[in-house]
Parts: sequence; C-alpha cells; structure tokens
Amino acid sequence: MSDKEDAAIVEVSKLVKVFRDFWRRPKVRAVDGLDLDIRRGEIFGLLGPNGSGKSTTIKILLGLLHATSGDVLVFGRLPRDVETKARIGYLPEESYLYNYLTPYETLDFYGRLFNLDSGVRAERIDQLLEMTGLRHAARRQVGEFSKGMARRVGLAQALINDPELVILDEPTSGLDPVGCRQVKDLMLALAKRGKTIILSSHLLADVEDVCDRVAILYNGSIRAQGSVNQLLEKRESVRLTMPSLPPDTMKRILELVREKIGKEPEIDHPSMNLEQFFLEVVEKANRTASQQSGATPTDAMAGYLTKE
Amino acid sequence: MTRILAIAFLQIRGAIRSKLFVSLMAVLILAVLGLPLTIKGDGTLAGQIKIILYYTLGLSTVILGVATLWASCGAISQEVESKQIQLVTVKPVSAFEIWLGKWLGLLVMNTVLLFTVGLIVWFLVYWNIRSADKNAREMGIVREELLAGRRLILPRDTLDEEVRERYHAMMNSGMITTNVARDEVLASIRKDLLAAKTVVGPGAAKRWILDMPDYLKDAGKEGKPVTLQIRFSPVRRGNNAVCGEWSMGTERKPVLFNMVTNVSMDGTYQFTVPVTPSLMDSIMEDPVTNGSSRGHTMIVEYRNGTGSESRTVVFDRKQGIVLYVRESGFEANLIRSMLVILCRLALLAALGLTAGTVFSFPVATFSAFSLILLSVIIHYFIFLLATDTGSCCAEHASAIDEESIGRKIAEQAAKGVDVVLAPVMRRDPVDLLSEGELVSWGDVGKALLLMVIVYPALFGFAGVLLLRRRELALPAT
Repeated sequence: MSDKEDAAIVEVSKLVKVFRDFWRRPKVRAVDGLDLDIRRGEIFGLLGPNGSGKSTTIKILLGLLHATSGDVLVFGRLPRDVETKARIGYLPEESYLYNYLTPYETLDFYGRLFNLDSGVRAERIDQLLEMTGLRHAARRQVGEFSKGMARRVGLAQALINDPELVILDEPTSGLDPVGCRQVKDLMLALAKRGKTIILSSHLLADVEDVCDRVAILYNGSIRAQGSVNQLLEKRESVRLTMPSLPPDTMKRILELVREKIGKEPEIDHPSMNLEQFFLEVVEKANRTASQQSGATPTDAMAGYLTKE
Repeated sequence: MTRILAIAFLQIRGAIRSKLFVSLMAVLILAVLGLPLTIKGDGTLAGQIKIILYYTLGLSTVILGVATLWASCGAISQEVESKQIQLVTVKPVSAFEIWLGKWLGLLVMNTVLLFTVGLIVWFLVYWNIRSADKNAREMGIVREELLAGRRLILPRDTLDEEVRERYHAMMNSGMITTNVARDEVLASIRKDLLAAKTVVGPGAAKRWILDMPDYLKDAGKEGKPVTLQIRFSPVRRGNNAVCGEWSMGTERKPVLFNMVTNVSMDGTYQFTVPVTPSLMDSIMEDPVTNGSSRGHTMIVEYRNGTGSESRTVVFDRKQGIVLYVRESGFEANLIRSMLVILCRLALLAALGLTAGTVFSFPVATFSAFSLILLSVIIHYFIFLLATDTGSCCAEHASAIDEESIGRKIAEQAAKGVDVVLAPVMRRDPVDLLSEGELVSWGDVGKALLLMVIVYPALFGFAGVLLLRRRELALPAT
C-alpha cells in the first residue's frame, strides 16, 4: 500500500462531546474520549445501539456540532473548513430535502453549491437519476415521494460532487432490498476507486457485507475496533463447502471427523439467502412490467463515480 | 456568486411553491383595489387621489413590511428546525453566502411585489383622473399639488434659540431658582413663545424667514411653479373667513410680490406664487449675512385685516407657511418612493434573517417585532421630548432636577439609540408622495446607503457570526 493510499482521511483524538442545557450545565456526555483513524479507500463501519454517539461523532466530523474537547481533522483540516466540505458527501439518517423541489432541482441546487459547471452538473444529474432509478420521477416534487424514493434523492445529492469521503448515516433505511443491494454495491465500487466511506448503521448484515473495519461504540466510547474478519473469525472452527457426495463417501468422511473431534459435526445444505431470492423475483418481474410509479430497479452506476 | 444566487433562487422558489408569493400578491391587489372603495373621501378628485396614494400604498407597505419580517424570520430558523440547513451547511458554503443568498431572495420578491403595487396605484390614479369630471380647477390642484414632486421650504425655526435666551435671562435675573423644575420652566417658556409666534390678532402682522437654497436660482427661468401653503392651527378652526394681506420679498425689498387672501380657518390652503425670473433674481441677488454664514432669505409677511369682521388667526406652529417648488413629475416621484420603501423592506429582511439565525421561528418573530415596536416608541419619546422642552439649556441640568437623575440617564440612553434610529425613521415616503412632496434622489441614495448597505451589513455581520458559531445539529429540546 502506497503512502498516498495509506493516508489518514479522518483523525480523531480524545474526542469529547458534552451537550449542555440552556444554563450551560452539562446534560449528556454523548462522546467520551473517542480515538479514530480512517484511511483512504476504507469502508469504515460505526456500530452501536441508539444513543451510543455514532451520529454525534458523524456530525462533529461534518462540522454540524462542535467538539467539547479533543482534536478532529478531516483531510488534515478542521471539519468546518470550506475546503474540507468540498470533498465530502453526506447522507443524513433522514433525508432533509426541500419538499417543494423535484429531484432534478434538488440535485441542481446542491450541484450549484459545489460550484459545478452547468455541463458537468447536467451530466451528473442525469447519471445519478439513472442510477437511483428516479429518471421517470425527475419532475415530481420530493414531498410526494415515499421514504425510500426520498432516500434515493438523498443518496444522489451526497454523490453529486464525486466526493472523496462519503459519510452515510443509515443509508439503507427505508430502501427496498434492491435499493439496499445497490447501495452496498455502490459503496464497494466507490471504495475500489479509492474513496473513503464511513457507514453508520443498525443493520449489522449490511455492515458485515461491505465494511473493511468497524468500531463498536457504547456510551460514547469505542468498545471494539478492527477489521470485520478479525473481529468475527472463529479460529477454532472450520466450514467446508463442497458438491454433494455419494452417501458412502459422505459416511466415511463423517466417521473420520467424528473420530478426530469426538462429537457429531454440524452438517446442512447451503441455501440462497432471502435477499438474493428477492432480487431474483424482482428482476424477473421488472423484465415483464410495462409501467413503473416508484423507483425503477436498476443496476446502473453513475459513470463519473466508477471512472478510474 | 453561483452559491449565493442558488440560495436566493431557492428562497424565491420556496415562496412561490408554498403559495406564499401568490397569496401575498392576491392580498396586495385586493388591498390596493378594494381600499379606495371602502374609504369615503371628501368628494373631490384630489381627495380620491390622496386616498389612493396614502391609504392604499400605505397599507400595501404595512402588509409587505409584516410579511417581509415574518418571512425573513423563518428563512433560516425554519430550515434549522426542519434540519434542511444541515444538508446546505455541509456543502462548501459559508455562513455569509447563506445569509446573503436568503436576503437577496427576499429582496427580489419584495421588488416584484412592491413594483406591481406601484404599477396598479399608478393605473388607479390615472383611471380616476380620466373618469372624473373635467373641472379645470380641480385638475389643476391635482396636477400641481399631488401629481408632482415638490421640494418643501420651511420657515426658519428659531424657537429653541429664543427659549434658551429667555431661560438664561430669567436665570440671570433670579426670576427662577434652582429648586424649580427645569423642564417645567422650559415647557412654560416654550408655550408662551409659541403662542406669541403663531397668534396674529386683528391688524397685527407676522413674519417668517425662509432660507432659500442656491438651487432655486434658476427656478424662475425654468418656470418651476412655486406654491405657498398656509396652514391654520387645528385649535382655532372654523368656517369664519379671515382676510389678510401677504407680501414676499427680502430685507431690502420687502414687497416683491403681494396678494390678498380671504379664506376660512378650517384647514390648509395653497396659493401659487408666480415666480418670475426677476422675482427669484431679486431674492437670490440679495444675500443676507446671518451670523457667520451668508445666504439668501425670503421674508414672507402676513398682515391681518383690521375691519370690523376681522378675527384673530392662529397659524400652525411648524407649517404655518410652507413654500413648495415643483422639482419633478409624479412618475419619477412614485418610482423614487418605491425605491425608498424597498430599502426599508431590505432593512426589515436583514433584521428578520439575523433574528432567525439565533432564535427559533416564533421567538425570532416576536423579538424582531418587539424591537421595531421599541424603536418606534423610543423615536416617538425623543420627538415628544424635543417638542416639550427643546434641546437647550443642558448646562443647567445638573444644578436643578437632581431628583430625576434616573430619568436623565434614560433620556440620554434613548437619545443615543435614536441617533441610530433617526435616519431610518425619516418621514414616510408614502406620506411625502401623497402630499406631492419630493422624494429626491438624495433621499433614495441615503436610504440605499443606510438601509441596504450599512445597517444590513451590520445585521449581516452579526447574523453570519451567530450562524457560524451555532451548532446546527443539536438534539431537539
């Protein structure tokens, strides 16, 4: 790994955040001595129960909250620095969008805030609408959308600037399984391009599927941190998957294993998970459907996001 | 600039899509068209035009002012509450760009609404003129006195000076002692002098001195109509006619022009003075040394009639006589009035936006409206104070009235605040327009400088500072 690739994008040291009441009396210690280093190209998962300090940490990284003490650097600068913000894409836990704007206008507005040229803006909006399956609803007001569709607009706005650091707070909340899969694929594709992703989620399966490293927070401090494999691996057990064997061969293998471990091994048939099954059904239905009112299932990925 | 314009455009789009803009436009049109139908005029064309100009434009300004303050208070505070601002502030946008973008958006909406009102008012004025009886005298009054921008020249006000002189004289002669309340003495002296200056008994005469500005040099050559307005005091109005003779001139040539009037004391009269180049030249070529300054003065004298029917006349203290010089047409004056009103709306928008950066929407609205109310009260208090005692004799203040130090401090504080308020609280442009008085480009420039640049810059600076320091993602309490 080169120095550039290994560069720390987010450096948090001894971060403390105390929420105070009107009279400045301490009310809640939301983050308590948090240390974090997130490197370029990583998908970093922030896990923890409600109120563990995940969202507060993210909001401090974005400059929406001020740290009570400790150091926070993003791209080597303070989070409130305008230069820093230009390199970040953020999807909040709820899509705080302007209900009176259409998806096209929403993306155009945020594109303008990044000072994107009109040509680049139009091209990216087009690709993002295609990617999120909202092309057919591009001229409808966001206020009319379901939560999932609004979430897609939120995701699209987070990517309009082709960010180097993407912060996603519960990105799959409200999305159907197709959307969830797509978001996960997107995260993997972005990470492949060297983008850094911070993912905060309650859906542990999502985190497990995509994250390189995770930190588990509780009461504002990190209780466990490391790569997913490192944390989940059971080194004392082995799983062996192979094609079905003739019964007598199987019997001989089991006898050998039984003899070696001294107890009955667990055997089952690998099954397709529900997500994969659902995706297959929807894909078939999509091929035969003539009209679509919600988000259109699509495998498309915005071209500028996958460009090497 | 792209970011500022994007935010401004978003503000406008929000107002249009939320139907705020359309509703406001509908209310304004209804007010402008409906109000003249509900207010009964004096039956004259001039009265009807005054209603259109004063009441409809005045009401529209109030509606727009309230709506601007309300909308500006919500522009940032409501986005903070709905958390939409979080998605904006995480983008590379500075607090200054957010504040300025919102302010510009409000300004553009106000411009469209206000000039639409102006256009309807203009149309209504001419529609009324077209549909009125073609009475030449009435038409003349409307064209010369209302549909014009006339510069106003008030007589020199020496009351404060005279009050001071008399007070000092009384102090020095021992007529008043230190245990007498200063304010009461001043008020009493003022009252006496005022009576002496405004009351003209039968056969008596009253003089006014008018300082004539240099720009009037060419008024005669340019044929600018000059109107003399006489206003009687409301305390002695009646239908009885009073006869008197007016003369105008200079110290050396006191009678360059004269006329006899026979009017009832029930209001205000305007007489056109035929300003010939020779009359104006005579005034302008007769400089008078007044202390250290030299200037041109015109002396206006009223001599009350002496016959058996003659009566005592009481003139209005401030505007017993006023000289008007026509400077511009109605349309130009209307446009300038609109621009001054727009500047005021810009200031309100700045105030509301800044209140919204620190408070929640209801608190911001309450604070902004309270601040305006307080400003008006302070300004009125200062006005009353000046009318009561004048601004003289401060050197004796410590010797007397020791018991009211608290009041003095409050007065001084109010005066200090009024230094900031006074330029903004200048006479209402709607008032000027409906009286046919000039709203000059100078007035527009001053309004632009103060209410669009200086004060909004101060509000903006405070707003940006507060927005930058504010934590926009605090948990709801």
